[in-house]
Parts: sequence; structure tokens; C-alpha cells
Amino acid sequence: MIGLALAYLRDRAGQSLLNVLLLALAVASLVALLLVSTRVEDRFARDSAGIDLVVGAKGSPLQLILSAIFHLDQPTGNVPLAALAMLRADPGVARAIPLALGDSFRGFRIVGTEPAFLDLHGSRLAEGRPWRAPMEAVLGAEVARRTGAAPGQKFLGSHGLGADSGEAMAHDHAPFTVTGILAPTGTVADRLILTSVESVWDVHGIAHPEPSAPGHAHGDARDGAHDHAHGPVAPASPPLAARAAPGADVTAILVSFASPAAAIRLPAAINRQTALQAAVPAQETARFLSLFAGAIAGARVLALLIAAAAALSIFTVLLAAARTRAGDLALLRVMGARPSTVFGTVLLEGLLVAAAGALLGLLIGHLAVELAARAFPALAGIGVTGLGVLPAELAILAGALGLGALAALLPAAAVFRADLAATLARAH
Amino acid sequence: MLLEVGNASYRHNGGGGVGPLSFALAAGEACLLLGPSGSGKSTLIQLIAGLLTPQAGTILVDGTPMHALAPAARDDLRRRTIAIVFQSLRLVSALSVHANLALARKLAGLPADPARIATLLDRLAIAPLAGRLPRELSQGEAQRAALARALVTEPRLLLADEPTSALDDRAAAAAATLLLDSARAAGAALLVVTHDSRLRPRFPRAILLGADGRIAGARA
Ligand SMILES: Nc1ncnc2c1ncn2[C@@H]1O[C@H](COP(=O)(O)OP(=O)(O)OP(=O)(O)O)[C@@H](O)[C@H]1O
Ligand SMILES: [Mg+2]
Repeated sequence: MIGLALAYLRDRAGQSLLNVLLLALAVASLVALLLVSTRVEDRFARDSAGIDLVVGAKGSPLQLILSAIFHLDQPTGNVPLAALAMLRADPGVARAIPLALGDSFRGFRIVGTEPAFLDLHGSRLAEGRPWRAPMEAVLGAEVARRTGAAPGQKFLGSHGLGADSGEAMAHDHAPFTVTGILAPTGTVADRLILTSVESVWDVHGIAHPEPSAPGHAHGDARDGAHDHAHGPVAPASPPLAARAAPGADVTAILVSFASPAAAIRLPAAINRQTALQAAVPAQETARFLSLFAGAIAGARVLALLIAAAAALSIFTVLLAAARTRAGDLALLRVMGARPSTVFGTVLLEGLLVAAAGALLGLLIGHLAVELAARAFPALAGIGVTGLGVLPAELAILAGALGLGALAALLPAAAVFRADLAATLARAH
Repeated sequence: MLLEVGNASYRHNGGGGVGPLSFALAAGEACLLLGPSGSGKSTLIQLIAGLLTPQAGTILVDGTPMHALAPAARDDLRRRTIAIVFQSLRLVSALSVHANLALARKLAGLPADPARIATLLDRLAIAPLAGRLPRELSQGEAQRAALARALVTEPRLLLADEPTSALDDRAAAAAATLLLDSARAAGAALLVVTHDSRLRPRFPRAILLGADGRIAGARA
């Protein structure tokens, strides 16, 4: 009976198309919202995995998180190296990774850090070797892809973190050398250029002893674990704090706790210090996402309203059609069609409209999100992509089909109440 | 007897209707029921098809009292036995002539038979219109298409309500010949109800219906 249902849909193609488009609009909105919110939450969760606390200069905690974990915002300021030493001395801290920001290359941030940063995001070298000497750098997968840079090539960082940092501001006295390229991870690491903290200091003319200089005995219990965390890519250098001259700062420190108890004690303890603030990524990302939650919920309500309007429209069209078609349906019955067959045909019309609308909506939703992600790198930066299908989209599909069936149910059921003799006696 | 109408009558709410009347039709027999407008011809067709239940008397189709059957069994008997050309409602509006015929066969539980469809359309001189929608047909063309739609199901009892009202003399003659030939070839009983007296000389048997819905005369 699908042929007959299609024939009826074709017979009033304008209305059918309108209903398909209306439903597609609703489904596209829902899918786009789902894609954006899921991808962003996903990306945030992955980027902040393993980071229990971010320590940085006083300021907005959200800004600290956004700048230090997601590399989206400007840093809040600098923290003295002593803070790193203090954290590493704390038994509640399993891992503390310093970050030194300030420069970028073609819009990609140059991050001075330690190799432990690679473990954080599960990064592997796809090519070359890790950075060892100052002014050596490893490129994230996307950086390499976009800039086309390969190991051995040199590049100049420019001051500032913005995407439009001009070449005029280039630190042309200090070119970086690419030593390796990271495999893609689907995290923020793909978009970063990693180097040592010393390299960032060098670029900015901050004095510090050469890494080859033997460090002072530090007596830090964390050293063993620290070296171990570096694994095979660890440069043979003494602890950073031991090498720095007074005045050498880092931008932020990513902290992993050794015990749950530290989660209660450490943030408060750090926040009591006048120069430092500690921000909990989980809290701040939740707060950040809740900023959008209202807008997303509003848009979702709007999309559901459109879906309801689409269902109502399908219902009205089918009801009107069932009336003008009463003669046809009676004729079909007399031609031998069972009531259930005629009922099924009308129901199928609703389902076909719903299926076409849902599929078109899925397509439009994905396309719109993907196009937006390509047009606005900031969106792509927070993980937004139209590629890939989410399990929840099946629920949207099922919902749309259910809506179509529901809208068709009443008009279809009219078949069972039809008075064949009276209908057939009436003029066509 | 394929059809036995025994003293059956039906009155609508307004008092109009048909009967009481009696007649019988053997398999392969053709009969014309001629009556003025309002004499109850269409009502009689609906009674025989089991769409209306006689208020008195009986109607047996292939020996079975249709109105005594459960709805599903009645539908089944109709599907297997009867094809109807209605007076006004001729074809499924969204389907082409050809698709109407194909669907009719399918709904009657018969295998697809494009050759039979082509032959039928050709004999009714509407082969070039096979791809048209019903609303793109003239009255007479639609009537012939409806005829083809009924014949294509190879019924044992063919009921036709004014099958020639919109046809000119030549088309009416062709339709009558086709109806009679097809019924004879298939061994089907044929009952044509009409006020079109042009058909009278073509039928071996005619029943005259009075304005009161009773039989006023017959010619064997
Ligand atoms: N649904 C109905 N309700 C009330 N009266 C009806 C109904 N259908 C038919 N009638 C009346 O019953 C009588 C017979 O109607 P019917 O349609 O059977 O006549 P007919 O012989 O087919 O007429 P025509 O040649 O004009 O088609 C008429 O008086 C008509 O007005
Ligand atoms: Mg009539």
C-alpha cells in the first residue's frame, strides 16, 4: 500500500512538501542543538580529563579555566614559580604541570610546558621527537595540518594569543624549530604548539640558567614521580623551579590530586593566598555550560513547538484529505481493500511525511552545524562538528515518526466509522 | 442461481427506495434493469453488493445471504464475487487509469496481468489515456475506465450502475457490447441498471422498474 500512500502524497504535493519542510525544520533545530551541546560538553570533558584544579593568578575562575585548559580566553595573569614548587611539595598533589603562555603562531597558541602535558591528553608523537633543547617545539595535529609544517622547519612566534596576531609583532630574534608532530587526539592538544617553559622565557628575554646546568638539590619528594611521569619523552633536565631566576613566572598550573581529601583542602588553602586562585574545572565548565543551558533549553522549546506545529499541520491535512477522499476510501473498500489496509494507507502517509521530514531535518541539522563549524573556527575550537551521528539522534528520529503516526491516527481511524453506502451514493 | 432477489425491499429515511421485488440471475446471464430516475436502481445495487441490508425479503449471492454474514465475511464474498461500476464514483482519484486497474486486480487477490489491462483499455478505446489521472478524463472516458476497472477483476457478478449515461451512441454501444462479451466470456452474471433505453435492444433480458421501485414489467 506504500504505492497508494505515495500516490496520495504526490496528489497534493504542495501540502506534503510543506509538512515535510516544517518537520525538517523542527528536527534540524533539535539535531543542531543536540550536536552542539553534546560535542561541546564532550570536548570540555575530554580536555579537562585528569585536571582536578587549575592554579593561576587571581581573577575570574572561569577565565582561568577557559585560558588554561581550553585555550579560549586570555590568561588572568602570572603566578610565581614558587607556587609550582609549593604544589609539588604538597602530598595531596599527584601531578602539577606548569603552563607558560604569551605567544602564538598563525593563531595557534605556543604553550611552554613539561612533557607530562602530553600524558594529560594521551598525546603520541606521530612524527619526529619531543622537544629537548630550548626553542624546540612539537606541533599539535591540527596545527601541523593547517600550517603544513614538518619536523626540521623553523617558525617565528608572534606576541599575543589572538588568531590575528600580526607578523609584524614576530619575535624574529628567536625562531622555533619543529622537532615533532603529535597524532590527533580530539582534544585541545591538537591545536597547540608545545615547547619548554624555558623557550617561552627565552623569547621574552627572561633570564634563566641553561637546562644543562645542574640543578640545586631540591629534596622534593615529588621529583621521582615527576621524572617517571615524563616517561620516554622526558628531557633530561632538573626541576624547573630549580633552574629559574627570580622573576621567572608561569601562567597557570594544572593540578591532579593524589587523594580525594586534597579536593577539599587544597582549593581553599590556595585561595587564601593573596596572589593565587584555584579553580575547579568541573565546577567552572558546569557554570559555563549553564550559561548556554538556558539559551539551549529555550531553543529546544522553540524546536519542539515547531515540531508540534508540524504534527498539527500533518493532522489537519490528513483530516481534510480523509474527508475529500471519503469516496476514494469507500471505493477502495468495495474494490476489496480491508479496513485495516485502508487505515494503514492513511497512517503510512503520515509516517512517510514524518520520515522524509526527519531525514531531511537530520541532514540539514548536520550540514548547518558543519558549515557553522567551518565558517567560525571558534566553534570548531570547542569541538563543534556536524560529522558523525549521535545515538540520541535515533531518539529524535523515533520521536518524529511517532509524531507523524500520532497525527495520522485519527484521520486514519475515520476509515472504520465510514458509512460506505452513504458515501458511495453521494456524487463524486 | 448466482443472484436471487426474493421480495427484497429497502426504504430510505425520506421514504424513497426500492422494492419489494424479486428476480434471479443465473451465472453467465445478462440482464438490463430499466427504470426512471429515483426508482431505486442505485439502492438495489447497494443491496445486492451488501452495502445496504434489505429491510424485508432476502438477497442471495452465490447462494449466500450476504446481509447475514459478518462484515469481514461479507467483504470477502464481495471481493471474490462482485465487481461494481458505480454511477458517480468511478476511480481512485490519486491513481492513473492503469494504476487503478492494477490496484483493482491486487485488491481482488488476483496476480498482476499487464496484458489483460492493455487489451481491456484497447477494447474500450482508452489505451492512450492509461497514464492519466481520473480528473484529467472526460465523463465518458472516466466511465469507460471504471468499466475496465470492474472487468479487470474477472468478477462472477458484474453490477453496473448507469455505465453509459455519459457516453455517446457509439461509445454506449461499444460499452454494452464489451460488457456483454466480457460477461459471456467469463461466464459472469451481468446486471446493468440504467434509465438509458438505448441499451434495451442489446440485452437478451430486461426488467422494467416503475417509479415506485416495484417491477412494472419484463421482457425475456
Ligand atoms: N441516502 C438516502 N437518503 C434518503 N433518500 C435516499 C437516499 N438515497 C436515495 N434516496 C431516495 O431513494 C430513491 C431511490 O434512489 P436511487 O438513488 O436508488 O434512485 P436511482 O434509480 O438510482 O435514480 P437515478 O437514476 O437518478 O440514479 C430516491 O427517491 C432517492 O431520493
Ligand atoms: Mg442511481
